[in-house]
Amino acid sequence: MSASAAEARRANTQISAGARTGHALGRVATYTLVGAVALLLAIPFLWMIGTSLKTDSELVRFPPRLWPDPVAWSNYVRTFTRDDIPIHRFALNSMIVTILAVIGQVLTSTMVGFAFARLQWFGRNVCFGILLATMMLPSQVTIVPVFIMFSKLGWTNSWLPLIVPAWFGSPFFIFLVRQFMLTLPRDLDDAARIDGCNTWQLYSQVILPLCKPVVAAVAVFSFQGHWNDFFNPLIYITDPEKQLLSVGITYLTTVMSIGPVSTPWNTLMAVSLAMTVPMIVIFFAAQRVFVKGVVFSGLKG
Amino acid sequence: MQGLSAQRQAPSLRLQGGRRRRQLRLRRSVAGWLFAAPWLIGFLGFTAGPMLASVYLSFTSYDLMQAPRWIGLANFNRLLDDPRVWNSIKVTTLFSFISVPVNLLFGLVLALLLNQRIRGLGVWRTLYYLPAIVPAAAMGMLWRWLLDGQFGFVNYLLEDGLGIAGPNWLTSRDWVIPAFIIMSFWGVGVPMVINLAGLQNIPVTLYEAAQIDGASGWRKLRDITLPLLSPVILFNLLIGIIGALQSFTIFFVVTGGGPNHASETLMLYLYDNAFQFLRMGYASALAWVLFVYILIVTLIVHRFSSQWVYYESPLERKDA
Repeated sequence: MSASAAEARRANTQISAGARTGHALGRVATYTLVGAVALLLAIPFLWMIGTSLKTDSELVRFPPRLWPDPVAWSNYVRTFTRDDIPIHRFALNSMIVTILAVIGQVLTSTMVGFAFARLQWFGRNVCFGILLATMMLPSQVTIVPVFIMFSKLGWTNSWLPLIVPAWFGSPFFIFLVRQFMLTLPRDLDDAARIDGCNTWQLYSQVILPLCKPVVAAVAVFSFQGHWNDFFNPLIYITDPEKQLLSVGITYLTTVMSIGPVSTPWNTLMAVSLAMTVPMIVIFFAAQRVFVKGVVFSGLKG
Repeated sequence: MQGLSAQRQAPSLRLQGGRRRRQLRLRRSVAGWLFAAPWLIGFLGFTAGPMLASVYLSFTSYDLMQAPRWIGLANFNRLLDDPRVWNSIKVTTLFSFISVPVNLLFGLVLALLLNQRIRGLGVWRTLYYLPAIVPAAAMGMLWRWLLDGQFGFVNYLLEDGLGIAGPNWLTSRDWVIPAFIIMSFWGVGVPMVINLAGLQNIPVTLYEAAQIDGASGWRKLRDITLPLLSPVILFNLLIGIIGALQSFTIFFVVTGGGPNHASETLMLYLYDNAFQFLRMGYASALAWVLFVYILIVTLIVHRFSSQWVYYESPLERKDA
């Protein structure tokens, strides 16, 4: 909000004392409402954290407490060292698959975005039309044939179906990169060409280094997409040793725990939290880029 | 854009004569195709090809072992008589048509509240957005536990705070859809953050002019804020509805479609057919039903959007 708006508001409040009290009441109401909804949204989080630190017997305590009394930090050790369901293995698998997929997404979307934004080529506009049309295309009609294709290739029960498609880019990321690259001055290209750059050098040494914000955005979004992906590991991975965290966590509900509740909620919440932490770290690291840059460039078509 | 850059390149090229220029243009065109190649191959191999294959498969019976057998419209006929199809359409529709408008409304109200000169905007925004980044599988587990009939925290709060005996949310046919609508409210941060970005894009001068003309707060909301935000609201509505109609993970993790199919979405039934029963042909037919359904809803929303969405200049109308 700019200074002039602030002044306008101040001028407004000075009109009369009545308006001022009304304004103050409004502010109290605003903070109350904003705070109440925030609390409502925060409670599930607190319950998740609290539960992850409960002993087996406290899970069934009534009335339940948000924060457990003996704080069982050992839950985390127990969760990540169990042999029957190798959670630590799932986490490592998820990390490897996600990072390999994100590298592919970033590389491909910047290259293709570069082609659409900075290069002249026959058929470009037609291709861009196709790209736009596929951007909003719901993916469910391709699920079955793609599965059949990968199973004919013998790729089921491997990480290839989870990683390889990412190396062929996603329309949405390509679109984001293109929009960003269009905002860079054309003179850069001319100058680089005169200095003897070929197209690859123009991409890798001139344009790409200027695209850090959009690269960060693509990396964050695709990290989120691949880390959270549930459907693909569900249909492609059958061997528990190769399973990812998102599907692996559900294995915990199918075994009976020794405790008094049939579902080991403390372990489940510990894994859920561990699954969320990388997302939180990444979002905080990229928050500024994320809120300011992406939403606008994504909307403005 | 293309015209502009062609103009700019022209002077340096003209000196070198026509043949040279054509050669250069060809080389650039080849470079363009090479750079776009990964997407093009991906488009053909992962989108266009599979879509055609899906059309073909929807007219066949195929279990992955034997070759697909052409059965004409049999899949679609069977679909019309399949009570689980109609049930899953009902479940998907009910969930989407309640959860999306509710989140849209709250996302708007919250964004308006946070757009005032409020202290700690960054903190609030983060708090509201945080649930949206929780992985769906983790979120599903959390809500299964929260809504547990016996030891869940939600029923404890209802009992303790309001004296209401909470239902067995996830095992009751009547309460399972409301339970999913409540869960979806946890994601209200997504439309909220997008609205907030849109609000901060509205020029302050408009409000100043309205102020001078003595407009009330309500007038400013109705005649400045809402019209200028309406393209953003449309965007939220479209991505919200397209996402909701394809709901899968949260339903799979929390109830698996139960009790007795009461929360079985179209995607869940499609999954069962394709990957549990290996009915690839029937699953493809179902996928097209869902596809056409989403398309129709999107077109209707788009058709009626011209009545409430305001675009500032005719130029922007074209791309939106």
